[in-house]
Amino acid sequence: MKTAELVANPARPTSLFPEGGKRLLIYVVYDPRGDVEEYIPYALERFRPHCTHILAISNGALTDSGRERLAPVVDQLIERENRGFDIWGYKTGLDAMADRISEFDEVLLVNDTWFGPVRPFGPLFERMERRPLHFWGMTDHMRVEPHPFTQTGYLPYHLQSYWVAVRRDMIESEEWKAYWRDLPEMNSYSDAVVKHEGVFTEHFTDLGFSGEVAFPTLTDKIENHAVLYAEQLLDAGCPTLKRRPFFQWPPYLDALAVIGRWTLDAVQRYGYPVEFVYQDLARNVQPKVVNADAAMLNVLPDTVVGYDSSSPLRTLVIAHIFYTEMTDEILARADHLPGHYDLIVTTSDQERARQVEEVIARRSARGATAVRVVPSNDGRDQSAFLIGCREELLSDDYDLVVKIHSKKTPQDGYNVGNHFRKQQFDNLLRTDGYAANVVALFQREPGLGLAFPPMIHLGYPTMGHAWWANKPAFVARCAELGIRVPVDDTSPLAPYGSMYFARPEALRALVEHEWRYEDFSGEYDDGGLAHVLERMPAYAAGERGFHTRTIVNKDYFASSYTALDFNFDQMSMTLPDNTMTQIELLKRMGFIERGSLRDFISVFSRMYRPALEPRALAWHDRMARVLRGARRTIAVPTRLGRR
Amino acid sequence: MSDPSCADLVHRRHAIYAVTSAGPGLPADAARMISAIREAGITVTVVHGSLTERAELDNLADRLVDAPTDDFSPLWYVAALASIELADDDELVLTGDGVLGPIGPMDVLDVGGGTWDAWSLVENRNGSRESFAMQGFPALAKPWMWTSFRGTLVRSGIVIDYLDAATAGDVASAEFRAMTVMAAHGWRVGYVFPAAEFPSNDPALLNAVLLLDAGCPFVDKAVFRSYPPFLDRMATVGREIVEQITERGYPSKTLWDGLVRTTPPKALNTNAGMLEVLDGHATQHDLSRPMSIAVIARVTWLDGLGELLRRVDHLPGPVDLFVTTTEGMSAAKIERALEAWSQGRGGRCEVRVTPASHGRDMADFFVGCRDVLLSDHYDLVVKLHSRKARRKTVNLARYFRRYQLENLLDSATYARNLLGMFQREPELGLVFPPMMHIGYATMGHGWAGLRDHAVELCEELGITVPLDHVSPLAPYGGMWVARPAALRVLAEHPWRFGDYSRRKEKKFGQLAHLQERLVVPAAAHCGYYSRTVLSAEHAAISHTALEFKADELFSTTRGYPVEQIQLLHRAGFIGHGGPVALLRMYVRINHPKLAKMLRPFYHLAFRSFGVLAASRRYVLSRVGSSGRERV
Repeated sequence: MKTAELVANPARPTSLFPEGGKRLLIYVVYDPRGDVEEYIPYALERFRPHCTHILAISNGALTDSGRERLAPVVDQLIERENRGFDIWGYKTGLDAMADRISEFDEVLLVNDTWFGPVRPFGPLFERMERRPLHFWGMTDHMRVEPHPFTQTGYLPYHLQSYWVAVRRDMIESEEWKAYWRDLPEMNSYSDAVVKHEGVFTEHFTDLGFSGEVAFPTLTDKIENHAVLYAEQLLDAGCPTLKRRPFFQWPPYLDALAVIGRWTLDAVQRYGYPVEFVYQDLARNVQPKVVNADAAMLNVLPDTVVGYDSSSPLRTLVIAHIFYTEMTDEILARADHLPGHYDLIVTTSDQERARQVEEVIARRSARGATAVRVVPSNDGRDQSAFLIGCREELLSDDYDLVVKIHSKKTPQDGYNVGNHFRKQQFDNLLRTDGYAANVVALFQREPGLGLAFPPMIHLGYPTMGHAWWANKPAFVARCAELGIRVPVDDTSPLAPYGSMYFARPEALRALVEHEWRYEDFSGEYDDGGLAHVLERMPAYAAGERGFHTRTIVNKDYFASSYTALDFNFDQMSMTLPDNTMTQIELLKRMGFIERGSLRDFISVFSRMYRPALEPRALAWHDRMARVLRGARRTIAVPTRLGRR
Repeated sequence: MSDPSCADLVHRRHAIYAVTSAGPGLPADAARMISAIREAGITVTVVHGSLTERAELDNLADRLVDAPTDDFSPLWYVAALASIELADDDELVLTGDGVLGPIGPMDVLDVGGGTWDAWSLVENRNGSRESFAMQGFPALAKPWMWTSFRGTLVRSGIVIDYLDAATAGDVASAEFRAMTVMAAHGWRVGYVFPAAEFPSNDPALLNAVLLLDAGCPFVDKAVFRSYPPFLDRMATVGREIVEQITERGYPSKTLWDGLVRTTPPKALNTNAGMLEVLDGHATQHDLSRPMSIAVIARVTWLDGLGELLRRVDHLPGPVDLFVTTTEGMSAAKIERALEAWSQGRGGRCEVRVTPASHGRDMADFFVGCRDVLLSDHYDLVVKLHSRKARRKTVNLARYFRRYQLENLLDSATYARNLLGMFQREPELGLVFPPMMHIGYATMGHGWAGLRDHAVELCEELGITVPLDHVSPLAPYGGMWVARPAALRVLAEHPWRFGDYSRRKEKKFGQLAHLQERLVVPAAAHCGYYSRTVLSAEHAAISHTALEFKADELFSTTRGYPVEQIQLLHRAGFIGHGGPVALLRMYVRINHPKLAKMLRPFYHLAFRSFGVLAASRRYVLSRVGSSGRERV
């Protein structure tokens, strides 16, 4: 389709894509792990009928498995240093093909920032091949003034650089060669937009080359359509789905009412394997961001919906029971699971083990049972699970493991402890129907690694703070365990309370490590290993490509949502504009502490004179000391006088 | 002072029951409680403030006394005491509509006179409760739970002295300190449920369920009326308490009647967790009890009509459809579309042309379809609309449409589940989705500056339900399902299209938005409560978004949400965080008295700044861009 900005005047003569013409695909991959995600070979395979030669450029070295994944679907692979973003990847490809470039009627410059084809390539290529033009792109972006990156001048109307096709006439032109020869260095994302994506289209249109766009901007508002209108683009037939709508900062997408979940509905509706999307997001995006952007929460009913009793999952329940008076309750919870399950109870000593065994003997078992005394209570349920049941977790005997324990939290007060316990058990194993619905989630989604209740917040000051002191140790442990999933900024997505449903395979990064009870010794405190590991399952699962869902029952949902809603409303009262702006403002102000003079000096410095903060605080502290001294000197004679 | 060994059995028992609820009739919970007390052989004197219909009370109570003041204070009991003759061995109980009950048997209240001269049912070892005055939840005096005095004590004058003194001092804590004071005077005092037996200092507020388990027949309404973030901090889950109360046979209808008129609606919605995620699978709706339904829809964006009708199709059985639109051409098109749609359906279809007004769907509803609302033909009225929002982005408009329509009429099963709620709960007045927060800057600003107008209009309409402080519970977006009876106060008022015009802004603000924010209190005034609903899908979208945003918003302050909120409220408006705003926040937090003194100057400065900025803009616009360079 033509847009006004793509019409060259005067225009050079154009040509169609010839019958049986040849097309070169230069596809740039960037994978920080070098593994190549599964959605990439899927896409490349579907390019094959339309491309004569497929050249993949990897920005950064690949692993063996990455190479293996690409080998069957590309004709040629170049690994290069990760510099200059996808644009310099294109340049590398063009340079590498310089000798053979005249063989091709069209060159496609495409990167890996999209999932697809969600809608088929066929009709797209068929349509575009019949158009007389020099270059075409998948989607476009309207002119923006002032330029959002430089704040001066303007960002021209442009075809988005993740997909641009160029015909022979243009490729053979001197202007084309000059453009790539003189391509400036690019050291940031902003450079890639300012120096290439934003100017490419205007540059060549001005030179008389005619362009077209396959899926022009859908509305009359200036927005990034490929990101914000992904679903509507799919409906229009667009094969590509940008990854961006699933990893941008949730308050940003929220402010623009972009609902990622509906886009995923469309992805499924059009038959694209949605597991590729989940897998990529699980590995490469902060889990809590995915949870919000794709609304990965399931409110499950108590009536069975979609559980398939004909394909039961081999289930293992691992229960750490320290408070043995809770044994009956815990076993009754486990009995909500559908069908058979094996049970391992871990506990701290022989006496407790005997008490548990008595209770088990009274009840009818639904599979094999074992009671295990762990050699140390250091690390409590965490160590009992990771060390005490390592063999079972690493075996391939189970599809699903349910981790529960005798939670009491006596230190937080009755109400708080009681609520925390219910928040865990009622959102995991509330009724037979509810538990079957949780299992059904795992039946439906082979890529689902974990399901657990959302972050506890009633009675706990977790909102905004749930890392507590654990983040540095967490980051260090992740590096040690080879977990490279990006870490959430504010609070991690985690099974607070350490009870969850998991696929053992998804926990492998955690379980394979040979933990020792000594690792868990010391205070059972924030920053300690047990609390670090409590936060890790979703990240460990993500590393293996498994995604996480949070699950709730309707009653908890009602209490949780209404409380969040009320608190949020109260908290926003004195803040301007929409939530995104409010958060940005508060974050710029930084930590407010108690609102003392010292705190406000910090806030002021952070906002207006960041360099000044240490000096200003030192000045404040000096003055405060002087004042205190002065007060004391005045106070002494007064007291004496009174006497 | 009496000698314990001579203490006889108490002969007669008197109770003074304080009714603080205002408005038309006596709330069902009070009626139930008064009857139960009398059935227990206790004489009941009711002291009441501003009930307008006393007939029911006259029949119920042994004696009726008018309260000396508008708001409750211990003086109410003093006033009632004047008409009660007590013998030494008689017992006097101070109670009132601050509690729900009886839930289960009342035997526990038969404490023999031998042990104590005075006793309270539940101890509050703190002697007081936290006050959240700035948030609209000050610690106020409220009727006592159940405190009993021996006649001797009352006759000695000490009780009246205490009540008088309390009225002049710390009224809110009078109930909690009474026993300590009596004990200090040498009387034998006690608690049926001492705090030591419970895991908190204030079991009535924090351990309602444990108290019920222990046999206490009352639940302090404070568990549903306190400042929600405080209850949140204490992990008091109101929805579970409601479940426990009703499971023990206390009628839910009575429970809500006892709360709905006297609790700010959004606070009640939060404290009792009155949000339902409705199922798209199972139905809890009885087809054998059909409800007659009117759908009132304003359609000015004809492209949306098809979807609207598909949604209406989800309602079981025939419905009457009233479509309003602002001009004849559209009306004709709609009429044709409806003709095709209504083939073979039982209900009536009517298109009405209404004048284009700023009141949009609200004016068409309350003025254009007033006859429908007041007709008595309908059990339920469903309010929908379809309009083109030119300024909104496609995403915003779509989210709005889907949020509103799907949360009311997602599918046939969903719609039946929603109607099922009305079948089961006769006092349920309104159902609508919670306040939107995705794409809209509603949070913290739900009144949209209309609260003062709301207070005025409530006064004019006689609505006494307390209004929420920050954002009201309201069907933002203007779509809901309601019982016409719940809308009566608003519907009966003779609104005109002209009331929605710019000329009336001084009086109403924007009347359409004002009405939208007052349907819930207006329903509550007649004893109808509201519930919010979400489909499972919208629940997931909305909760994950809210959770993420809350995590970010609460990340720069310390402590529990209740503390974080209080800190920001004390600091006042942040503006855009400019140096002046920071200074003002510092002063407000650390030197509140100074802040108060400075306030007039600040306002003056703020206004002058506004005037200066405006004149600067004016001058610049006159001088033009060349002038701007000079400036």
